[in-house]
Amino acid sequence: MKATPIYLDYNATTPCDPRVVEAMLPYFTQHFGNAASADHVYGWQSREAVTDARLQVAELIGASPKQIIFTSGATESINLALKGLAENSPGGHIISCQTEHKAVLDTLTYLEMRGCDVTLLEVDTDGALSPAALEAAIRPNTIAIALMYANNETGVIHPVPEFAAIARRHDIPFLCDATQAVGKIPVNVTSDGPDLMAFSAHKIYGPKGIGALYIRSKRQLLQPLLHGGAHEGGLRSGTLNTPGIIGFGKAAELCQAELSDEQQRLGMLRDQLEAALLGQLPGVVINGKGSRLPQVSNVLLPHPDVEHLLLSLSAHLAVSRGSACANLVQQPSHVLKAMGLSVEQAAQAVRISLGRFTTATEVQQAAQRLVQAIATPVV
Amino acid sequence: MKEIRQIIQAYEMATAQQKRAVLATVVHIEGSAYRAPGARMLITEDGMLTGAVSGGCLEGDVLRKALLVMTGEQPLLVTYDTSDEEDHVIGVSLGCNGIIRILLEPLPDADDNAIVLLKEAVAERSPAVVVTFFAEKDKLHRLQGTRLCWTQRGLHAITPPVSAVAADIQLAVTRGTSTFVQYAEGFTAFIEYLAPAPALVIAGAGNDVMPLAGMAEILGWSVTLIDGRPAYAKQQRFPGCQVLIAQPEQALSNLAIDEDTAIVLMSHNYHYDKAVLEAAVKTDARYIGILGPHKKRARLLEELPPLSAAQLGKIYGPTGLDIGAETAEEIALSIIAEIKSVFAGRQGQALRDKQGHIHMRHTQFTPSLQEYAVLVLAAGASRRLGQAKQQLAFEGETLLQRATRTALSIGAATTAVITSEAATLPATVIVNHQHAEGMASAIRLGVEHTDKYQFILVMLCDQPYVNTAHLLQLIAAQQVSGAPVAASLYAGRKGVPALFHRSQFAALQSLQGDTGAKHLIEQLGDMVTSVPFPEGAFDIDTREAYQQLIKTEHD
Repeated sequence: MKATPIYLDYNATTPCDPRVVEAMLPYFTQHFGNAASADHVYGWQSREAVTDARLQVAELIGASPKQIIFTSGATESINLALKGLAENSPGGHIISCQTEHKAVLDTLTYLEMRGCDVTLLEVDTDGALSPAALEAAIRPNTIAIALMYANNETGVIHPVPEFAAIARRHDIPFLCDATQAVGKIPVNVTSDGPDLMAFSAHKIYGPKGIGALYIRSKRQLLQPLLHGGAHEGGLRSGTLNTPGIIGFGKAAELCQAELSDEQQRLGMLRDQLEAALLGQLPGVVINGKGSRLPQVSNVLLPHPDVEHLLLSLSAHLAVSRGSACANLVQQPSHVLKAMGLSVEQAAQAVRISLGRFTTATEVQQAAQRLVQAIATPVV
Repeated sequence: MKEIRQIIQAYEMATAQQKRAVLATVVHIEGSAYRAPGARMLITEDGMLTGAVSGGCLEGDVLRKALLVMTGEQPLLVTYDTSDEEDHVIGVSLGCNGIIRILLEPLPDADDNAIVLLKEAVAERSPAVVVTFFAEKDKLHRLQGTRLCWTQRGLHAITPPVSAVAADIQLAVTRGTSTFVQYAEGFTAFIEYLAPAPALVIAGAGNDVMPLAGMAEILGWSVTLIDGRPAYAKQQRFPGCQVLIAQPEQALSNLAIDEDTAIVLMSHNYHYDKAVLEAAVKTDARYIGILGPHKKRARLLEELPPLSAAQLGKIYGPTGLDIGAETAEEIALSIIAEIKSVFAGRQGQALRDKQGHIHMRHTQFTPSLQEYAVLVLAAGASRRLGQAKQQLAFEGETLLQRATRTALSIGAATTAVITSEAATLPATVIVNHQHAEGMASAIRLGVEHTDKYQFILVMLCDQPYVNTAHLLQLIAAQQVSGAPVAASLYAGRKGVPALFHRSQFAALQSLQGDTGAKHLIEQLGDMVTSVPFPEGAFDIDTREAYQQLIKTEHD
């Protein structure tokens, strides 16, 4: 048995916590009932479990369970929110930002083809977006604002409460993609104030294929993507993914309990990692400044071929270039380009993200591997 | 060949540095692909690539999959479908239109792995076969991999998953092409025939020879220079080539010149060239190029003893393709291109003007010899001969023993001999009690015993010149043509030995009386493919024929 590489790509996905898997297992074989079956005990059991899980998920973000609908993941939640808003006000104007995740950007590109007008706000070299710029971009026909909580590549945290206040002042629905922030830092829909918020289970040690959309009120503003059975209040038809929902609920509960210790621990490890790299490798630059998520570091490495560097370290270390890309032809990160990096610089960037199962030793070893590989000249 | 050598070298370097490696082999393609089956690439754990499996479009993904394979011990068969215009895996349209199967095999640090076999295959300048097994239905099957190497020195095997492959190797050698043989066990064997790399012998070691020798080296050809002038024929002027100082008369006699050899005369010394030419036309060399105008060739041919048409056909003078070459480098390009086209049997035309596919690759799957049966018919009464002809002796054995031995030599699943009385033979003997009816009864009885096979090869015991090579050629001709029957062509007619696909078994079963397989072959007309076999006309039907046969034995 060979040693497995050190996993430092938690922003791409997290392993399921064994406690989550344990909670899910009975719902595959024993409690397999359809939560919509109203006439027997199997259905009732499932429905009860889903109700509990919805509460667990809602509590993690300070919401009420009836404000949560389950989807297949953050991408679906974002699509459901944006397409619904756009369909209700055809030809409307939507404001977003250049550093958003592709789930937002690609959906907006699609809506542009359907007649929407899209403004993508710029960020500064630190990755920050100013509330003033947001307010200045608002037009009379602006129908939605879509801004993320924290960036998936750099970890830069946006001033969400300020954005929400502006949106409320202009009475514009505000969708926040909080996929990377939920479970990592305190996120509270009441104090943060978004109208819609998307997040997913597999970033918080839950299973893949399950996510949620928080909807403050005015469900009527949205239109379902899927029809057939009127599940989830008619917004998301399809038999509920009971094991996934149970896992999501358990994962949310664990995060809530462990969040503050974990936030501190990971922040410390991340700072140690950055210090090690900055101290031993001249030319290292940390991308993204100001308020950042505790677990992620986006590092510009002084190496001519970072793709090859990562492949050659793949037996020992799992980190990624920029964001996990949809296809094999890796495009330089749009996030880093928006922050003013050149294509060449963006190609040198590596995202190192830590998580619940990362140890101090692993972080030291990872830094050592990178330093060794970069400091040793290629023959 | 060159790629294999580079891969061996890269593997040895990686092993010395204690780095793990994975071998990627293109084991099959359907439709068009840039690289043919047999293209290989070595991937080491630090991500270094040696060789290539595509034009560069698949390497990035193959590299990642190879690194994945490196984490375990299991091989992995990867299938790329480049016919998908918007391939979401590759991310770009490749412009090709084919399916490429690539086997990734880990190379455990052992004395017995794929590299050992490849080394053996290229150790000597002689034909070799390398067999790589893959399992389309189980892409992680442990026994996939490079498992066999055959050379004239013998067979080297690393636990092949299918033991019956030896016979199919022999068939590939006869065909002189690679084959893809599917076995009942669920494996396909890529039986890769490796012809030796061309050899180039250049008469002359002047400065203008340098580009020619250099280009041949790039192609992986082995280059020998011969010149009578010690000042020119210096090893240090031509590193990587064999350099001989020799008088023209002896120059070629010290070299092993086979049909994969090209000889080019460019000594710029008429008498030297002439003497080499005189020796060259007597060798097996497939290409003899003469540098210089038509006039020079005409004078050379005039002064030499008369040559046969075959000898004249090998002489290319002026040497080279018409590409407007002026400088020594350009002339080298023109000569190299012509030799390559002659060896490949092509015309050297622009591909733009060519109809159809660029390559002529035969990549269809063929059945194993495990799907073939051989019937030796020995039960016919020999009315004219007056005695049982199968018992006649020739070269120390009876004709029946001889035919049985030949039949067994191709390695088919079963060999059945139909006789009129019990006999002791190393094959299944079936006694035909109805032999008085004639030939048809023997065929019917034989087919009845072998109709579970895909093909039946029917042969007689009274054609003493039938040999292994001819039987394999019948099988090869059927595989290439897809015809239902492959027959031997002699005396202007098609006859036995002949190979029948199972679609013809019913027709064979319905033969009556003294009509033989030949009757069915005639009925099928143009549906029958044929292999020329003039010696087939000689059979032992009369005492005179037998006397003639015995006479050749004593000659």
